[in-house]
Amino acid sequence: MQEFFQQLINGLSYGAIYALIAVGYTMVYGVLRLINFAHGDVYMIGAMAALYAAGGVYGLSSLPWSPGAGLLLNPAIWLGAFALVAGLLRMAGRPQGRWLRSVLTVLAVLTAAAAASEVLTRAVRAAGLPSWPGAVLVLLTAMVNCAALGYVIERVAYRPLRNQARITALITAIGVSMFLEFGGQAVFGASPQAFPQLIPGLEEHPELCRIGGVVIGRVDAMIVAVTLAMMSGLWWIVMRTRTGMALRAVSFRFDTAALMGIDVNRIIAFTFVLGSALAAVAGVLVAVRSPKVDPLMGLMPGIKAFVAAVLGGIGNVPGAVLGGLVLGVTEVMVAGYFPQGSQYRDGVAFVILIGVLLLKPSGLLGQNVVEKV
Amino acid sequence: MSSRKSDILLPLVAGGPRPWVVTLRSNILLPVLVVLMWPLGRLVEWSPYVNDYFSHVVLMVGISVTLAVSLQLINGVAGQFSLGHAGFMAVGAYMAGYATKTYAPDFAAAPQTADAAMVAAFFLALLVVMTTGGGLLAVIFVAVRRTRRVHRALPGVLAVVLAAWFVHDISAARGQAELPWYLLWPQILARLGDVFEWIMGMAAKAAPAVNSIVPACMKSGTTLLAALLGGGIMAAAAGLIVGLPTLRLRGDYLAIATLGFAEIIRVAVVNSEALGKATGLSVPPYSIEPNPEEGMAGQRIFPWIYGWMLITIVVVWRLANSAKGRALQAVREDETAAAATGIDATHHKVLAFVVGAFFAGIAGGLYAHLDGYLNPNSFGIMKSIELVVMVTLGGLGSISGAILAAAVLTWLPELLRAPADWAALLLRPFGVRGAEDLHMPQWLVDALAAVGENRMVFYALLLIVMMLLRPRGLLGGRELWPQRRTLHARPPAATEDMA
Repeated sequence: MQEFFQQLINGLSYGAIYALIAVGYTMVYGVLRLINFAHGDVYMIGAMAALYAAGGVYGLSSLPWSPGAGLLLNPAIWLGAFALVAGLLRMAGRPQGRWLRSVLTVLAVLTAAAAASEVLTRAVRAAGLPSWPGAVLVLLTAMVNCAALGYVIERVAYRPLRNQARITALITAIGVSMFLEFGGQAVFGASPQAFPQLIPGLEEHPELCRIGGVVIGRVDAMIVAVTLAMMSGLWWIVMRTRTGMALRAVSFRFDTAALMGIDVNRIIAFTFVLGSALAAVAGVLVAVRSPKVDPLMGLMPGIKAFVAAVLGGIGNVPGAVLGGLVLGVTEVMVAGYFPQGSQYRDGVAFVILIGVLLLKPSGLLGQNVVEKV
Repeated sequence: MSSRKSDILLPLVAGGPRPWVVTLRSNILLPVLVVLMWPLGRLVEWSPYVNDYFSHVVLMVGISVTLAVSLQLINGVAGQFSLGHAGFMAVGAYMAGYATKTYAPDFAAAPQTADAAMVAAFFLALLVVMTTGGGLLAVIFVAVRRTRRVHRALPGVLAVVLAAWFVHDISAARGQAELPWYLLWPQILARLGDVFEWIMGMAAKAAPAVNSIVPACMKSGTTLLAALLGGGIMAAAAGLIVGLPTLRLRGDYLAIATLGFAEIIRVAVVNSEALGKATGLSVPPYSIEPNPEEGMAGQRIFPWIYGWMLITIVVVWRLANSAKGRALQAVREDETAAAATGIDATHHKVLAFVVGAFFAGIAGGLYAHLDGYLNPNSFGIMKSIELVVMVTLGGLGSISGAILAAAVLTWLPELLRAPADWAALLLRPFGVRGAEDLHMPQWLVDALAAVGENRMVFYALLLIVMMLLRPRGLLGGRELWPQRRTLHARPPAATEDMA
């Protein structure tokens, strides 16, 4: 029994990460009916941003360039140039389009994020690492960068295709995902990099407490606690604010929401910002748990988080959390209990997925939608 | 539903071209493709290019086109968004590769050892074993369906079984004494394995007699054909297995379920001792004229790859434009409405999956015998996504679009890798030996090197830009060649007359 509970706790900590990523998938899907394939890579950028903010590459005291600018500007320069090219190309096709405004907005957002991360990274340096304020500041930096990235991705790659078939946006999503992965390899290097210690005393005292022989690790406890905090914040935003109400309306019925005077574009951008910030949190938590990061780290967790979102009923935020937890616990259980189970670990997610889809095609918490012809 | 009748009737009403002109125009593709392929084949086998990177890329283009066109049938024509095509390809590649590796170990070098009969028997035995296993499952399924009450209580029963398993498992983890009951299934599998052994034993007795019928010069060709067809049939069976349960799903759910199946296939391969686990499987590469000094001789596999490409294109194209194809398109446009007009949606969806998977398996088998090495990671999610990108970029439903996009997207990364080398390669018959003969300025060399280093970034950028500029694909659902008149193009008056 003791081993079972130990596995359960490990599984919950894995599942919390999946849940954080899956929420971003499910919110975007709920609003746009789009599988945002780039979401897993936003999570990777979150971990990378944290790495740069914590000075993992160069050491905190000897950053070669102004840290905030340097950390963001690698992806930002690429994306900004790309936004310019895309804007010019669209101008060539449609002279009356608002390409200039779109390009300027993108550049403004990126500049603001760069400035914010500059300030935050200076604050990290002042606070020093490992320390609790420093860790929070690193987390904030990652969230700001990913929020900006999510906004830019939506603005550049998805919004121009809003009125096209959904598969079109899916292909640009794949394009953005590949761009971030391979761009990440070009910018950050392809090999895994060690992630510096953020939280004081994590390595010296890995155990938080023992309950009847079951060890609760500090990292696991922290992951679950941070996830809980983020989910409560998300719940408050979605259920208790005007923007959240508008978000629910847009996700319920897109065009009716527009008729009710909701600025749909703003709400969609907000959804991307929110989901990307949560992905950044997941990225930082994973980086703290397994202290290394690499540009392809987002591929598998991204797809599994999408599986988790489908498992819980896509478009349904509590469903995504439930799906993430179920997935994480099952993976760890299979790896722990089956003979040679750890080799089959990656396949398990999909076996559960297919099982659930066959028994209840709309997911655990999803509602069946009756189709009218 | 009969398209032929309308094609004959239509010109009389609308004053269009004569029927034989229509027939000729809509069938012109096949001779044009054959004529185009001849110089390509000569080019690949031409002395400046033979056994080269260039011919390898050309052959890979052929395989990609086969894959993209077969996926177009599932994704574009039938509208079933499948993200698992690489899984079918993996099944074909590993099945065909394993068969030739085991029963024709050096069929590239020595035609007389190439054992077509044993390869065919291998697939036959595999099919029998699979059918037996599948039959057992089907009997259980039908029994459950028969007793309706059990069926309704199935989730509950499953939950009870799972709970029992869990309790047992925990106690087993403590005790570790004897084999737990849920691990007894290997014994059932072992019985099935006995059946397999028995058929293989029978075949080994019969093989010399069968092989004596085939002339020695045709032996390796026959072996490859048996391996390819067997791989294709295995992939089609996989398509049936994937197609049947996922029929309840639509849209994104179907996409993620097919992706899941492909990933399960990959994980199964990675854990299979016989298929080489994660290190991969070495397969004898194919050539009819062996040339051990020059390593793998890729030239003679050209007719196989491009022949199968042609067969795939013609089959998919005829299928898409037949009465069945119209039914597939109706299912794509609106499944419920199609079912209401009497189209068996289930049958047509499974048909698309099986045919598409068959050709994907063939392409996989060709890929196995082209490179001579199979790595499970080359059949991962990225491969499936790459194929979906080809189909979508070409334009959903457009076969010529899929051909075009597959050719461009297979060649593009290679071109970006070393643009100057490609220029030199194309100029090689004119005496250019390499990139240094082009005398490019240094800045250009540096710029091209930078592009080559980050080629996948540019590939991704080009992908996004192409989708932004042409959201409906390169050809936007149309074909390059003239089509028979579609239902939509028909003038309304004519439709009424015919009714």
